Amino acid sequence: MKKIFWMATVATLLAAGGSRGVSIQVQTPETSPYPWETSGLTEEETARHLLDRFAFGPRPGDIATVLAMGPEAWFEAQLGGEIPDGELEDALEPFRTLDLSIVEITRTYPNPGVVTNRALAWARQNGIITQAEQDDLTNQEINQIRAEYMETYGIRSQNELTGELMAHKLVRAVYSENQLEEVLADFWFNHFNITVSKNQARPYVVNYELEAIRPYVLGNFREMLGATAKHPAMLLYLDNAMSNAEQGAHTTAQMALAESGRSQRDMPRGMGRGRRGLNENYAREIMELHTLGVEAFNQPLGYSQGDVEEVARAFTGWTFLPPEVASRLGMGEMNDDRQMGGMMGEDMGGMMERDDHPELSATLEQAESLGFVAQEGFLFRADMHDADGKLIMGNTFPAGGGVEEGERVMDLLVSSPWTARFISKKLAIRFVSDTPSDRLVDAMATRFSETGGDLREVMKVLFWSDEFWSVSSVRSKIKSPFEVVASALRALDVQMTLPRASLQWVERMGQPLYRYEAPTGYPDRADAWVNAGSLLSRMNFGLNLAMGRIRGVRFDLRGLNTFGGVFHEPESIEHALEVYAGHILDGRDLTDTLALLAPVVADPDFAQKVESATPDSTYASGTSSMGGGMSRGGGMSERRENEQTVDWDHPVNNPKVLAQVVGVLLGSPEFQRR
Amino acid sequence: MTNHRMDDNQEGRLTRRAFVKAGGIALFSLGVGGSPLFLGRTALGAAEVAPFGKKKTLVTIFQRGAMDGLMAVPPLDDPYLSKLRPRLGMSASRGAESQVGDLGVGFGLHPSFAPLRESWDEGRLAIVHGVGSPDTTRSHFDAQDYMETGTPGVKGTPDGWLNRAVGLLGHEATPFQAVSMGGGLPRSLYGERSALAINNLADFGLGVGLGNLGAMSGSSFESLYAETSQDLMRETGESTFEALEALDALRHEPYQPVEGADYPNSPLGNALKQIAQLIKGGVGLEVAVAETGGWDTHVQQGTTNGTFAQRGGDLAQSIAAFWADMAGRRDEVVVLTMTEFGRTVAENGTGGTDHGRGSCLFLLGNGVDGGQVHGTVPTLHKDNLEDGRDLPVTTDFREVFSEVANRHLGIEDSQTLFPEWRGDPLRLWRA
Repeated sequence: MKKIFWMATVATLLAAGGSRGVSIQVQTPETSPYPWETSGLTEEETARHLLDRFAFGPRPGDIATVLAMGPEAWFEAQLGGEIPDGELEDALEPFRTLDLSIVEITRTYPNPGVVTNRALAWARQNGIITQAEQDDLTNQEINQIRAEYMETYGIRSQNELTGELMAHKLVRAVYSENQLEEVLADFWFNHFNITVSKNQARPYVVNYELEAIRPYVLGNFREMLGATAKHPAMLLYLDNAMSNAEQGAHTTAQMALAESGRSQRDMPRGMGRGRRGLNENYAREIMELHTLGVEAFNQPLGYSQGDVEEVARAFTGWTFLPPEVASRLGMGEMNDDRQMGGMMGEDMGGMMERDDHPELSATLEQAESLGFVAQEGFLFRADMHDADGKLIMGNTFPAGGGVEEGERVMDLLVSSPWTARFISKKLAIRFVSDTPSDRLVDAMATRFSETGGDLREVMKVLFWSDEFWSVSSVRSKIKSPFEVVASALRALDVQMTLPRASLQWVERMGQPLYRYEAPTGYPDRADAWVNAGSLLSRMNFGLNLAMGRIRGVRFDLRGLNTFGGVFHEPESIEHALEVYAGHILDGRDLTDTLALLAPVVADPDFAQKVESATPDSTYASGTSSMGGGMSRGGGMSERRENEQTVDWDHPVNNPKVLAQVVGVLLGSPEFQRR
Repeated sequence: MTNHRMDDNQEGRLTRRAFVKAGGIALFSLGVGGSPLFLGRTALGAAEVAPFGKKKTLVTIFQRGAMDGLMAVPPLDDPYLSKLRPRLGMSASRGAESQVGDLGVGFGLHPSFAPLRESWDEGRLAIVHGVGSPDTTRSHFDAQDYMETGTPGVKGTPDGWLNRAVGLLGHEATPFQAVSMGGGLPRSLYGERSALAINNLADFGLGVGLGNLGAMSGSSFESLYAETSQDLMRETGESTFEALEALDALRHEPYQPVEGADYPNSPLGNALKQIAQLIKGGVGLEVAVAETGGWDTHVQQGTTNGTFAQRGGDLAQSIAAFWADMAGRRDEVVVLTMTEFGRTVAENGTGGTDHGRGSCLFLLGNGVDGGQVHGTVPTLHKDNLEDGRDLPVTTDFREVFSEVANRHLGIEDSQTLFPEWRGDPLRLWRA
C-alpha cells in the first residue's frame, strides 16, 4: 500500500466570530503513517469505528470485510456509492410508490379532505345523490361514497404513501451495501428538513427525498440546494409558493409586456391578480438553516434582516407547478378526472386561498413569452416575481434577472465562507463528535470552498483527520433512535418482512420519521436524544427485539454463532454472554460491560429465573426462527448435522436465556454509543 | 415489574438520590447493601409518593383542526350569524336543554359544552373570544406551528413556548416536569428542557408485556447505566430509574378518580385522567399537554348533534371530569384550551365551515376571573369581518398565554417566553 504523509498548507478562513482572519493548517495525505495507525485503536476498533460512523453499524462479517479491504479502500468504495446492491433491490421490490412521478403520486394519493370534496361532487354529478340528500348524509355514508370514488379512480390512502416513505428508509439503512450514502441521506434530509405533518407538502415528500436529496449526497452541495429550492415539497413547506411581489413592484411579466411593446391589458386572465406580499419564511431559512447559518446573522460578510427581505424578493414567483396545471399546459398526462381541473389551490388540501394563487388561463407559449418557466413540479411565475433590482449581502442584482436571479442568489450563498464553515461543522458534529475542533472544521471548510461544495472532498478531509480517529471521538456519539433500531437489526442480521413495528420503536424513542415539524431538523446532540423516556424505550426495545416481540422481524440467535454450518455451543451462560457480547458489540472493549453482567448470569438459577420470568406467551418463538423448534435442533435442516454435538437441554441453549442476554446487551449504554 | 409492596425489613432506609430529591422526606426504601438494586426497592403507595414536591401545574389542551368558536360560544341575537348559517344556526331558547345555553353575558354555550356550565356559574371558567394569531395563515400546520412556538410568522424557531416556560420556571429538571400525554412530543414542547411523551402510563415501565423479564433485567440495566463512562447516560439513567420508581406505585393500582369524576373513554378523557394521576402522585408535573382532534368540520358539522357536538361533548366532559377529580387541589391547577384558528362565519356548501381566523378558548382555575367572556366580538356584519368573511382576531393568543404563565406559573419574563412580542397580557385573573 502507498504510504502517505501529511503536508501542511496554510489557508485563511473566517473564524467563528467572523470579524477576524486566522491562519490554520490544512493537511493533505502524502505519506505514512495512516491516522488510524497512530490513534491507539486496535484494528477491530478501527473497523468498528468506521462502521459506526459511515454505516448504520456492522452486520456480522462487516468488520472482517473492513479489515480485509483496509479502511482507505473501504471508505473509497463507500464514497463511490456504486457497490452492487441486489439484496436491497429485492427488499424494495414490493414498494409501489418509489417509482411514481410527482404527477402520478399526487393523482393517486391526494389529501383526504380533497378526496371528500371530489367524491361528493362526483356523486352529485353522477346522480348518486342530490344536493338535498348530501345535506343529510351521515359520516358513514360519506365514507362509503369516498370509498366508491377512490375505487373508481384508483385513488389510494395517503397512509400507504407515508408508510412506504418511512419503511423504505429503514429497509435501505438495514440492507444497503452503500451504507455511507444511507447515512448521508439521513443527514441531508434532516439538514433540508421538511415534514409530512404539513398536509400540503405531504404527497411530495417521497419524491423530495428521491429527487432532491439522494442524488446529491455524494455530489455537490450547490446542486442539492438548487434541487431542494425548486421542489414542491420545500416550496410548500416553507411557503415560498405563496410569496408574491409586493404592491408597487414591477413583475417580470409586466416588464416582458412592456419590452415587447404590448399593453398591460394583454396580460392573460388570472395573471398578476394574486394577493401581493412577501412571505419571508424560505428566504430566512435558506440563509439561517441551509447555507450561512445563524451565526452569520448581523456579522461581517453575513446577512441581516434586510438581506432576508431582499432574498425573499429574489425568490418571489418561485412556486410549484400543480400536476393538473402541468397537464393543462400540455406538460404532462391529462387526467380524466374532471374534478381535478378546478382551482389551483385544491391539491394543497384546499388550504391555500384562491387569492394567494389565482388560477392561470394561458397557453404554455403565452406564459413563456412573459417569462414563465415550467419544469417538473416547479413553476416560475413571472407575474409574481419582483423584477426590480436588489441588493443582497452587498451585491447588486440588476432589474430583470428573472428565474436566474434565484440561482445567482444561491451561488452567492454557497460561495460564502460562512456556508463552508456551517456545513463543515454540521458534518463534523455528525461524524466526529458533538464538539469538533475549529481546526478540523476550518480544514473541511477550506476544502468546501476550494471545490465549490464537493461533498466527497469534504468527507475525505474528515476521514483523513487525526481527530476523527482519536480515542476521544470513538464512541463519543449517542445513536439517534433510528440509528439504534437500524444498527440493532443489522447486528442481529435480521430478515425484515414488515418494517412497521420497528418504525414504531423509532417513534417511541423520540424520532417519528419525517414528522419533525421544525425546519431545523432533529438536533444532533447527545442531550437531544437522552432523557428518561427515551432511555427506558431503548432498554425496552432491546428486550422486545431479542424476545422476538417485534413483528415483521425474524432472526436466528444461534445463527450468529454458527460458522461453516456448525453452531458453536457456548460452554456456559457466562461464556454465552461473552460470545454474544462479542457479536453484538464487536470491535468494542467489553471489559466493563462483561464485568457488570457476568455476576448476574453466574447465578446458578439464572436460566431458571429467566424461564419463569418469561411465560411462553411473552416469548414469540413463532416470529423468530430461534424458537422452540430450533431448541431441539429440528428447526433448521442445514444444522441437523450439528445436532448430536449440541446439548440442547443445557440451560445455555434455552432460547429465552440467550434472548435475555442479548436484550440486555442491546439495551445497554454501550450499544447506544457509536 | 418491581415489587412495590411494603417490605418491612427495608422500610425507612433511603436511597441517596431519593433523599436528595425529596428533601429528607422518607419515601423509598433501599435494597440490600446500598448498591443499585432494581428488585429490592419499594415504594410506599401512590398517595405518599411525592419525591419532587408540590408544584403548580398548567394543563394545556390543543384542539387540533380549528374549533368553530362561533358554534361553541355564539354571540346571541346577532342577526348576521343566523343569516350566514341557515343550516348550522341554533336558537338560544333559554332553558331548553337541547338548545344553546344562555351565559347571560350576550353569548350562548353550545349544548354539548353544558358540562362546563357549573364552573362557569361558579366563576372559575373564563372564555376568551376572538382570540388567534396575528399571522393570517389558514394552514393548520402553519397556524399550529406558530401557536406552539409562540412566534407567529417565524418557521425556524427551534423550541416551543411551553418548553421555554419550563426553562423559565427555574426549577430543577425532573423527569415528569413536562409531559405530553397521549401522543408524540408536540411542537410546544420541543426544546432544551427534556420533556416526556407518554402514550399510556401503563406502558411506562421496563419490559411491559414481557412477563417479569423487565424486573429481572432491571438490575442489570441499572448497574450498566450507573457505571457507564458516558456522563449523560449515567445521569439520565439514574433519573430514569427514579422515574420508574415514582411511577411504579401509580401504575400498579387501578386508578380511582374521585367520586363524580366521570372521564369519557376517549383519547382526551384518558389523557386527562392520567395527568390527574400524575398530579396526585406528586411526581413534580408542572406542564402537561393533552390533545383533541377532529375539529376540522368542513363537512356535516351538525348542530345539537353531529361532529361538532360529539367533539364538544368529549372536550367538555373530559375537562369537567378532570376538574372534579382535582377537588382539594384546584389551587394548584389551571386548564387552558387552544385551537389554531377559527372557522368561516358563513357555512359552506357541505354543511360545514372552512378555515377562518378568530376562535375562542377556555380557561379554568380557581383564581381565574371566570363567568365572563373576555375579548371583543363585533357584530358579524361583513364590514366587521376579517377579509369580509371571518371573525376577526381581536386578542393575540400571546396576551392570554403570557397571562397564564405569569399568574399561574409565576413566569415574568414574557420577552423570553414570546420573543419579538411587545404586547401586554390580557387580565384574566381576579384582582
